[in-house]
Amino acid sequence: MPELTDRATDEAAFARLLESHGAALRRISRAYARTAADQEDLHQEICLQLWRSLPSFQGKSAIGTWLYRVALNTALSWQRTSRRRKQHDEALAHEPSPSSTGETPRDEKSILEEFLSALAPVDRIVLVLYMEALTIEEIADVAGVSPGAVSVRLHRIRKHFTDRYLNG
Amino acid sequence: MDFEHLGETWRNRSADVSSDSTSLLISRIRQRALELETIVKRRDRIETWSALIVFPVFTWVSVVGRFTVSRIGSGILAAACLFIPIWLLLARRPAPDPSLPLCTALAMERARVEGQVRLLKNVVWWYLLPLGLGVVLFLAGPWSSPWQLTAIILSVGALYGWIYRLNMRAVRLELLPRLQELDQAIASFQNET
Repeated sequence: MPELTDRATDEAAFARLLESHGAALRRISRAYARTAADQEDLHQEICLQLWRSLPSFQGKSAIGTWLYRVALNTALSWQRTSRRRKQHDEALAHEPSPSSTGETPRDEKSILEEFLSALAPVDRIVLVLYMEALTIEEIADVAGVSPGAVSVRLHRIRKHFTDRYLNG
Repeated sequence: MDFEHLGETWRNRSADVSSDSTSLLISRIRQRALELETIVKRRDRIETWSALIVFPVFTWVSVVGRFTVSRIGSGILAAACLFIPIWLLLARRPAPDPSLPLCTALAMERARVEGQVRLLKNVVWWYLLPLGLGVVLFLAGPWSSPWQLTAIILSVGALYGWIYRLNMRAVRLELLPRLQELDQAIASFQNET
C-alpha cells in the first residue's frame, strides 16, 4: 500500500487509521490491562507505537495484520515490564470459576474477561484475534506460526472454555 | 453463552468503552512521542559532553602529570572513557520492530534481554575493572602512604562492589525472570508449530 507509506507521517492518515480500528485497539487494551488507568496507559502506548511504526509500513502485509502485530507486540511488551499487572492477572487467573462456587452466573462480559485473564499469553493472542473475526490464516500471519498450529490451539482453547463454563 | 458467541460479546465491548476524540488522542500521542525524543536526546547529550570533558582532562594528566602512577591511572581512565561508550554502543540492541510477527519479535526480544544479561554479568571486565584500577592508580600518586593507599583501595572497592551488586540484582530480579517468561512464551508458540 504505497499510498499509505507516502502519507505515513500525515496526521490525517493516522487519524483515519485510529477511526477505523480504534474500537479494536480499545478492546485489545482491555484484554491486557485490568484497571481503567492501565487500559488508558496501554491504549496510548499502542497508539504511540503505531504512530512511530507507520512511516516504516511498506504495505508488505495487510494494514490489519500490521496493526494487530503492533498492538499485540506492544501489549505483550507492556505486560512483561509490569510485574504488578502480571501479579494482578495471575491472581485473577486463580479465581475459581462461577460454576465451581455455586454463585449466580455473571454476565457474558465478566465471564469473557475472566476467561481471557486465565489464558496463557499466546492463547490469549489467538483468542483475541479469533474474536476480532480474523481467519485462521490471518491469525497465523500475525502470530508468525503455521495455520495448523493456530487451529490446534484454538481447538484447545474452545475445549478449555467448554470444560470451565459449560460442563463444569 | 457458548464459545461461538464469544466474538459477538467481544466486539460489543467497544460500545461501552469511553473514548476520547481522535484529535485529542493524536495530540496526546504527539506529546508523548516528543517527550520520549527529548529524554533520549538529553541523555545522549549528557553522555557525549561528559566524555568530551573527561577524556581530554585525563589525557592531559596522563601526559603532564607529576606522578608516574597517576599518569598511568589517567591513561587507563582516558582509554576507559572511550572504550566504555563504544562497548555499550556495540552491545546495545534496539527493541524489535513491533510490526514483526509476534513469534519473531519474541525471539528477537529474547536475544536482546540475553545480551543485557551477558553485559551486566561481565560488568567487572568492561566497566568496574578499568575504572576502578584507573581511579586507584590516579589517586595513589599523591596519596602513596600505606594507610592512604589502603583507604583508597577499600573506598573504591566498596563503591564498585556496591555497583556490582546493583547490577547483579538487576540481572536476578529483572532480567532473568523476563528471560524465563520469554522462554515460556516462545516455547508455547513452538509447541504446536
